[in-house]
Amino acid sequence: MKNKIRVIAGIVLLVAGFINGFAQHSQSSEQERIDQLIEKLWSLSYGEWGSLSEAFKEIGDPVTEPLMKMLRIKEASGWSQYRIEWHQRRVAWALGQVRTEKAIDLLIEMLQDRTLHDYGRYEAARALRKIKPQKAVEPLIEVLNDKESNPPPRSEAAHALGDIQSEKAVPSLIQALDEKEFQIRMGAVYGLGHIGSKEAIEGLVKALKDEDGYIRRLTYPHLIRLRPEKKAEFLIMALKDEDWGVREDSVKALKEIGEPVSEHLIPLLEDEGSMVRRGAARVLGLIQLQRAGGVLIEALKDSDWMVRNEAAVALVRINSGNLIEPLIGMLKDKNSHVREEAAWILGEMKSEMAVDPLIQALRKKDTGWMAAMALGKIQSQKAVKPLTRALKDENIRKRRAAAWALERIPSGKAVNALIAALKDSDEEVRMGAAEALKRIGTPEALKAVEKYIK
Amino acid sequence: MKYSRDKNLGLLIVPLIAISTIILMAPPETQSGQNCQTKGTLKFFPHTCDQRPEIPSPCTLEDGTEIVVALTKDNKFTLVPVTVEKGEPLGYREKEWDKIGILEVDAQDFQALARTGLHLEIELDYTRRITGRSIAEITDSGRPGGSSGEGFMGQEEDIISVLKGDNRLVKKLGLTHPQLAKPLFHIWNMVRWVSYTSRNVGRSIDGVDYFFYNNRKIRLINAGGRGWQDSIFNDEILGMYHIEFCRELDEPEKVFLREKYTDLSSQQMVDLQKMLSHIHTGEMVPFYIMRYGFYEGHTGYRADPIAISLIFGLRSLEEIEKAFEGNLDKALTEHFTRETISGEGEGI
Repeated sequence: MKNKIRVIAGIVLLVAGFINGFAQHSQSSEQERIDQLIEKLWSLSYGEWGSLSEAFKEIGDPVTEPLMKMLRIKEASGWSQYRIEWHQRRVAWALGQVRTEKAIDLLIEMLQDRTLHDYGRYEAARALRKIKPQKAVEPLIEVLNDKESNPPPRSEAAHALGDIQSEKAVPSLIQALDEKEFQIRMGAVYGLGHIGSKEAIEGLVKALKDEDGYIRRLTYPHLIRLRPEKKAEFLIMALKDEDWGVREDSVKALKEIGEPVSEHLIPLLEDEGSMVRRGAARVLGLIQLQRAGGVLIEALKDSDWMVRNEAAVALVRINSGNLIEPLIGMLKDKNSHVREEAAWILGEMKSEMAVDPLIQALRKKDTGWMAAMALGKIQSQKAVKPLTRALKDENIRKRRAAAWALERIPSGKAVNALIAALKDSDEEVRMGAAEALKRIGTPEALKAVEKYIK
Repeated sequence: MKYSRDKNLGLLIVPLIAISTIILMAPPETQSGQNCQTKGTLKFFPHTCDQRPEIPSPCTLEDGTEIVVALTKDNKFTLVPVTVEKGEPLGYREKEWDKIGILEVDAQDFQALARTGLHLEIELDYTRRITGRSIAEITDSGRPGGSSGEGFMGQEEDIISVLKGDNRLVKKLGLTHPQLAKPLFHIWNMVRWVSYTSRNVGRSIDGVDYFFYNNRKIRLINAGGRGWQDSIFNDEILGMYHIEFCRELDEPEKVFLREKYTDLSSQQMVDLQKMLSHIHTGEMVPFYIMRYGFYEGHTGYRADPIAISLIFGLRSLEEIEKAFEGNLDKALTEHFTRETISGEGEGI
């Protein structure tokens, strides 16, 4: 009996020992895995951390304690701020991957710890932003409101509150719009935009008055998303903004909407701000709105050259046959800018109908040169004779344009005039004539060019 | 030039023969010691040597490979391949970068530029859009506070006036836009090479302090990433780097300027010398010069054609001064506006 007891006790002890050994072995191998993982994280650069995300998640809680131990060695002597920053960021990032309750608590602790580096706390807020735990709302609001803290954690807290979509945060986020630091205001706009409640929208409307164009630029897309019925209204407001980026975004969005927005745009061609008239003309051209042709032709009379240019380019983009006649009429306008732009548009449209009127317009002393260029673009043989005459004009620009145009309408009829132009006092006329003669390519023309080159 | 190391082997054979010939013809002492070029090898940066390689800088080898001799931080010589041609991506935003056509000219908008390397004034007068964008849009985007805080031109400048103004300057120098773009492409390719081989893409390059160009010693002050910058034209050109370099004027040049510009105060003289000898620009500019004849207007990133021609030894100071006849200071500072650039230029 005693022997039996001894045997059983022996077996029990053996099994217990085995289990204990196995448990210890598992424990030490897990510890080893944690150590290796942490070591690996510390060896990687920021962009590479993501490769370890699953491994941290898989281990879960057991990795939090070693990570916090790492955090506590932050006061290690001789470390630069830069090193401390990245040390803490690694801890926060890793806790963010773990995502357990314990990890969340530790992240909140990090976020609130003012003794940590700004970017350590920033990374903690960033991790919470991804996990979105409701229990982080109050601490995040606290950090956002904490004027003693620097912008990085406060701005990221605002972003996190937006992602958690806590309405509780709205008053603090609206208040943050008055902060001096751009980064915090930027976070506030994001937060309000993502919460999207009635009060949050009111806050965003307030942000449209921000002195910084970039804040306004960030605000418009939120408002347009949250109030789609007011999309056109917001975009027109944005088109009037003094900031280039806001206006550019508006132009792109208005172009996407297309024709439905035209009723808002056409009146803007008479806006008192030239920037607004310019933007409206550009969008009307981009959406190729045929019925805007008339108002755009009127815009060629604008006092601002940039508006005239946008209108002219818009008319070429629309390129409608209905525009030819009114544009031909513009060739006789008393305003030289209008005549010049009209001739340019007709040339770009390559309208055969415009050849005779352009030949007439060629006689104009100040803008005849543009008529010559337009004739060169249309390439009608009809224009050769008047262009050869223009080669002798007293206006240098007109002679240059005539030579340039004749290169594009090669004709034997122009050879004599072009050979004569090789002796012009202006080098650009001579060069243009030589190129035109080369293009004509008759022996006589080529011989003259050869002589000129020599 | 393919920048990938494993692809260099085939391309090295011809330069190798050329360099070997130079070495064999050179005095015996150039073959001894630690050389960048030895019989059978041609080693580029980061390889360095104690003696200056017996080749001009820049030089073009028989296979078309262009090389610049540079000086490293620790005063060693090194060779950098800088061939102006389409290269492999540098490693940032590859897909866009790869598309860049270094030698491309905007022939659609500027036929004369494509044909002669200079604009015709009449074509610029006619221009109402470039790359499909209105000149108003380009001007708006290029002014300070537009697509870049500092801007691509002054607040009162506009794209056509800037193109005309610089075209006139270049014509007066007796040069063309591609001639002026080339040394800037060389310096940019050098920055690319050093960044690439140092695996330091986007950061300030650390390795080359000086380089030699047409017997001038040029200091590469800085070159590094400063965030993305989109182009003002509708093209694929992108900016990331800023590049700063200078060539100290020599004493005879300083004396020459003092004698010619006696009415300038000492501060004005210092400013004039700096404008002539110092350029801070970005890597978009050589592409802009080549494609549109655009050097940027009067901003902190302008690569003035007069300064390019002097720094890289394309023109001597005497030649430049002769072209501007006592108005060098004005030529370097006057902004290009619709008022200052009115009237007809002299034509090519």
